[in-house]
This record gives sequence, structure tokens and C-alpha cells, in this order.
Amino acid sequence: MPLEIETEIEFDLEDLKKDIETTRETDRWSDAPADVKELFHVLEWNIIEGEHFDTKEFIHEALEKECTARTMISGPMATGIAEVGRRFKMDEYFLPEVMMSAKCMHAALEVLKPLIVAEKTEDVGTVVVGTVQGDLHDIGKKIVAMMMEAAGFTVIDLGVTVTPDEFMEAINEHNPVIVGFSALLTTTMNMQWETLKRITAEGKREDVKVFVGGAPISQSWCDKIGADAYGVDALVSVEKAKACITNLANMKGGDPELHAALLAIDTEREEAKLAEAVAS
Amino acid sequence: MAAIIERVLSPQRKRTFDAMNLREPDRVPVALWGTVEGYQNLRRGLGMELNENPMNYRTGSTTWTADVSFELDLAEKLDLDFVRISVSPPGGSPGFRDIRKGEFPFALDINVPDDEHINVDEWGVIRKWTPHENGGYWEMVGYPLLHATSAPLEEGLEILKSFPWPDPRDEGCFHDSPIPGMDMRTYCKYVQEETPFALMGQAGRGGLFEQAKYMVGYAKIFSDFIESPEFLEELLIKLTDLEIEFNKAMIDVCGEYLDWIRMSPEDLASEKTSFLSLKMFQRQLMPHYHRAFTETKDYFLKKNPNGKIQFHSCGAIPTSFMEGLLKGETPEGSQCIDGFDPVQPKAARHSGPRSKKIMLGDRMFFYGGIDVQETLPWGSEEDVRKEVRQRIWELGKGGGYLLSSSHRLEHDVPVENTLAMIDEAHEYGVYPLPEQPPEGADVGDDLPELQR
Repeated sequence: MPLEIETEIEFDLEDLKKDIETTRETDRWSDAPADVKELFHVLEWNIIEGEHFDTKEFIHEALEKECTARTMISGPMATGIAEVGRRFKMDEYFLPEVMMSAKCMHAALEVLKPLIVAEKTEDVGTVVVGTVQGDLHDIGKKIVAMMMEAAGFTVIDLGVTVTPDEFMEAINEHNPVIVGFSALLTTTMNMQWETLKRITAEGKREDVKVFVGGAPISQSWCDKIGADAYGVDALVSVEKAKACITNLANMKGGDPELHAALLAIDTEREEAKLAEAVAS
Repeated sequence: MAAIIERVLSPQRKRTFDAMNLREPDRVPVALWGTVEGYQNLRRGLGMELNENPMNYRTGSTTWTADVSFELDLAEKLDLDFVRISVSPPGGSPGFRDIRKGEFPFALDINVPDDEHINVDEWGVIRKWTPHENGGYWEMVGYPLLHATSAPLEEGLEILKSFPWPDPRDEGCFHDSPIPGMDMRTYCKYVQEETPFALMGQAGRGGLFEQAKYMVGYAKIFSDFIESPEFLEELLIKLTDLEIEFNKAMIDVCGEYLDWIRMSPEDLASEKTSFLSLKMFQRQLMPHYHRAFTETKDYFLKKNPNGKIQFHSCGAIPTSFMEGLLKGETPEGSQCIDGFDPVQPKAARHSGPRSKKIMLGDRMFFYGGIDVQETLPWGSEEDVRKEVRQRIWELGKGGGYLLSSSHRLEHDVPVENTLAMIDEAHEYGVYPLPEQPPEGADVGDDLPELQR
């Protein structure tokens, strides 16, 4: 006998339409053609609402309209999941809602992942990422890896509980531009420091730019251990990574000037945000 | 009549009962809770005899099999006020089945890797021994109902119906106790008649939401609230039936010797906030909790008219959740839960110790409160003493506070810190408590406002 249970989230089409209408007015995807823009709005809201059953259809439809996988990931999918993150932070969303959104992201990425690999035209550089030893958490790191890939990097994801030895091996083998350490726990964040010390001891510090990220990580932790950059979220990490292969390409890992230049990206972003807020 | 009862009560029991009944005792009652390794560490530090092999310990909770009942000689030596006892898993401790030897009664539809460190518990949850430097935990690696919850509803419900659930009335549950060779009933009787300690019992071996997490997996359970509510509802009904039955079986065996019952632990919150929204909790979980608590309490009160029920959730469980749980009543009109543990001090302040006391302290007692995440393992003795003073002041006014570590003592807690905790509680915890808050205490005048 099926039970009658009301669940909290009911997918309200009217609400969704209204939400789409609101974001449409912000003209978020101004450089996209009109019909694609519409799809982007729907995709973004599918992720926010965690309505994952027809996501794949939207993706295929957008692909037929010649949208690239990269555009979708760094566009509506990134803004959608960022909104989910905001709602979670504000106690508007709890784990069930976040899990539904994650499923939606996952469904979309399943379609897009092979395309990103195929889509990549030029190899801009290699990034090695991993969750440090003793830590099993990797959702955030996976998102960063995906976004880096979408930005054109070759990403070597070492997985979870990666030892300093394994990081060293990967550095020697792949010769990356950037090495990223992730950690979720206060008890494991120290391994970021230990791994960094190991890289320095092996004489590789100048060859790689070290990024740190994760829930307990902050800019002050980054400063303290002498990493080059802290990525507050995936978008910022990608922006800083891009800087490392363009205007900052000639700087060496561990250089205080590199550290300052990467930190300036955060300041610029904050100033831009402030200016936007003032303007509106 | 009352006077006679008062006279036969040991000071330990009297202060525990006073605290539980929200009267000021002579001083705050104190007890311990720990893993096998934490317990061994303590005995070693005190120069007491111990059994070196952790697998020789009768463990309380199968779910992690790291719990151990602290023995009476330790309670005596440290001048504790109450002790805990848990039923063993069906089939007896440690409750694992070696699947390679065909010891699990049904075929699992899960690929079990061939690894000697893998076992299956009584619920069919596959666990792997994951060691740390001084011991380890049985971490979950496989979930027996993961497929059922993803299957079409009818099929899923069919699996639920035919699933070989553990038998709460299995004799093995009550075979042994912390005293070798003594069964659980005899032990409980012994504690009541021959020792001065109050006694808390725990029968539940999994819980409702908690065991549901273990059955379908952490990743799946949360989306099930939205995607598979019908399946989840049926699963929770079944788990509630079992929780009640485990408790009734224990009450039948030794209910008259137990002073209070701790329900199966339920973790409903992270350190920051609850896992679920209040609305989802009220609709999809709370009715099951009410049924488990009221039926258990009703049954318990028939054996022990003064019996109490204690509920556990780690994390920052919001006051609104607790208010909801407190609304449950037994047929006789008694509140369905009386106490709450472990009052995790590292949880967000709006749901922390002082907040709990201010918002709920007139209706329930609190158990736990001394931080195991930082202070006990890494703090100095003075840090521990400072925290003990803060917590007693925050939670102890008017009684209602039973002091203990806020979770299991692990191997990494120095013996000196455990002793400092007990000593400071003995010293500072004497009533009447000082009016002035000790250094660093959360006075919490702004907390009711924060809750809104």
C-alpha cells in the first residue's frame, strides 16, 4: 500500500517560472544566443531546485545548439551550485536539498565530462590535486578539478588520503604548473603543511605553485604555511590558476611577489563586488 | 515512606536522582564513558589490572564495537556516581559474523571484498576494521538496503518485509556483563543491591534515523527524504518497532534494577546546524521518535515508576527539534524524554550547553558536556578544570546536570586530564553553586533572543 507522505520540496512549476523570470531580467548570460540563454536559466534552476530527472535532456538540447561543455560548467552550473552553497550557508537548505542538487550536478557532469576532454584544444598546463593524507573527503576537490579541466588544464587527480610521497611522485612524473592540496578536517589540515615541507625539502618548491583549499582553510593558513594561493571556492581557484599560466607564468613557486599578486585577485574581486553592490 | 527510601539511598544514587529530577543535589554527579582503548589507558595510568586484548571486552554498541562498560572497581576508585550497561548484540559480543565462514544468516546482495578485516554486523552492515595508531573503529563500507531504496517502491518494500532483522529477544543479548561469568540481570541486581552506584541501561542497538543511515548509506539517506519518502517511512516504522522491542526485552530482563534508559543514539545535527529542516524533521522523523520514546517509557514505568528516558544527539541539535520531541507524552501524561546527552560543547553556540539549559532546563536534565574534541585530549589540566567549572555553572543551576565527557574518552586523553575533570567536578560542583559565573562561562543573556 503506497503511503501518502508530503515531502517538503515539491517541485513547483509556477515558482520555477517566476525564478527564471527574475534571473532572466538580470541578463546573466548576455553573450549567449536567446534560445540558449533560456536553456541556461532552466539548467541553473534545475540545479538549485535539485530536479535531476530531466537535466540530461537540457544538456543534450544545449549541446545541439552548439553550446560547449565548458560554457555550461563554468556558466549556469557554476552559478547554480554556488546558489545552493549560499542557501546551505544561510540555513535555507539542509543536507537533503543539497544532495538533490549534487545529484543534478552529477547527472549533468556525466554527460559533459567526456566532452570536456574531447573539447580541449590546447594544453595550457598540468595541475596535480589531491586530498591530503588521513582525509577522505573529496566533493570540493572534485569540483575544483572539474572546473580546472573545463578551463583547459590537464588535471591529475590523486584522489583522497594522498601521502607526501605520492604527491612527490606525481610532481616528478607530470611536472605540473600547480599542485593543489585539499583538506576538510582540522585534524588533517596540518598535512598540507607537511606535504609542502616535503616539496621544499626535495628542492621542487620553485618549480610548482602551491594552492590550498578546503573548509577549515583560510588565507591566513595559506600565509602561515607559505603556500602560494588560497582558493576560497572553485571559481576563484580557476581564476588564480589561469593567472599562473598567463601574466604570472614567469614567477617561481614560493616567491613572495607571486603570493602578493595572487592575493590581489581576491582584493580585485571584492572591490568589483562592492562596486556592483553600490551601483545596484 | 519517602523518608525511609531516602535513608537507604546511597549518596551516589541520591545525587544522581536529585540531578535527574531537577533538584539541586549535594554536588554534581559524575561518570565516565569511553572506548576500549580509552578505558585501558585509564586503567594502565591508575596502575590497575587490565586485559590487553580489546576483543576480550564485552562491548556495548555493535555499531562501532569500541564502547566498553567501565567496571565497578574503576567507579569505586574514582568515586564516580553512576555506571552504564548495554545489552550485547544478538548472538553475543562482539556481534560480528564472519561472512567467509558463512556465519551470516542470509545472502547479501552486495559485493563483499575478500578481506580478513571485513565483517558483517547483526543488521547486515558491512564493516571494515580501520586502525589508528592506538586502536581503531569498525567503519562502514557496505549498506544492506542501498539497492532496496533505489528499486521500484513495491520491490523495495518487499525486500524490507523479507529482510532478516536482528532478534531483540535473542538470549545472547543478556548473557554477559562487565563481570566475567555474570549475566546481565544478575549484574544489574548486583549493582543495585551491593554497590552504591546508580545504573543506566541501553538496549537499543541501532536507532531510527541513525540505523536508517547505516542501512541505506549516508549519501542516499538524505536524498531519500525527498526522492523515496514512502520507502523511508516503512523503513523507519520497522526500525522503530525494533527499537521498542529491544528496550522492552531489556526491561523484561532487568528493568526493575535500572534507574534510567538511554535510547539508541541518534545524530541529527552537524556542529553548525541540523541535518534536516525543522519541517522535514517534524513530518518525517518526529512521529517515529514519539512512538519509540512513549512506548518505551510507558513500559519502563510499569517496572520502575521513577524511571527516566535519555535521548542522544551529537551536534548542534536545534531547540525547536528538542521542543518537538518533548511534546510526546505517555498514556499517563508523563513527558516522553527526561534527559539529553551529550551536550556537545563545540556545537554552535545557539544550540550549545548554555542555550540548552536556558531553553529546556526546566524540563530536562543534561548529561555530558566536557569537550573531547580539544580540551580533554590536548588541553592542560588547568584547561580541563576551567571547562568543568564553566559547564557546571552553565548547566548545573537547580540541578539537572550529570557530568561526563561529551563523547567517548579515547586513548589520546591523558589520565591526568580525566582525573582533573573528576576532581574539579567534586570540588567546584558542590551546591549551592556560586552566583558569579567562573571565567569564560557562557552567561547567555542574549541566547533566547538569538533563538528567534
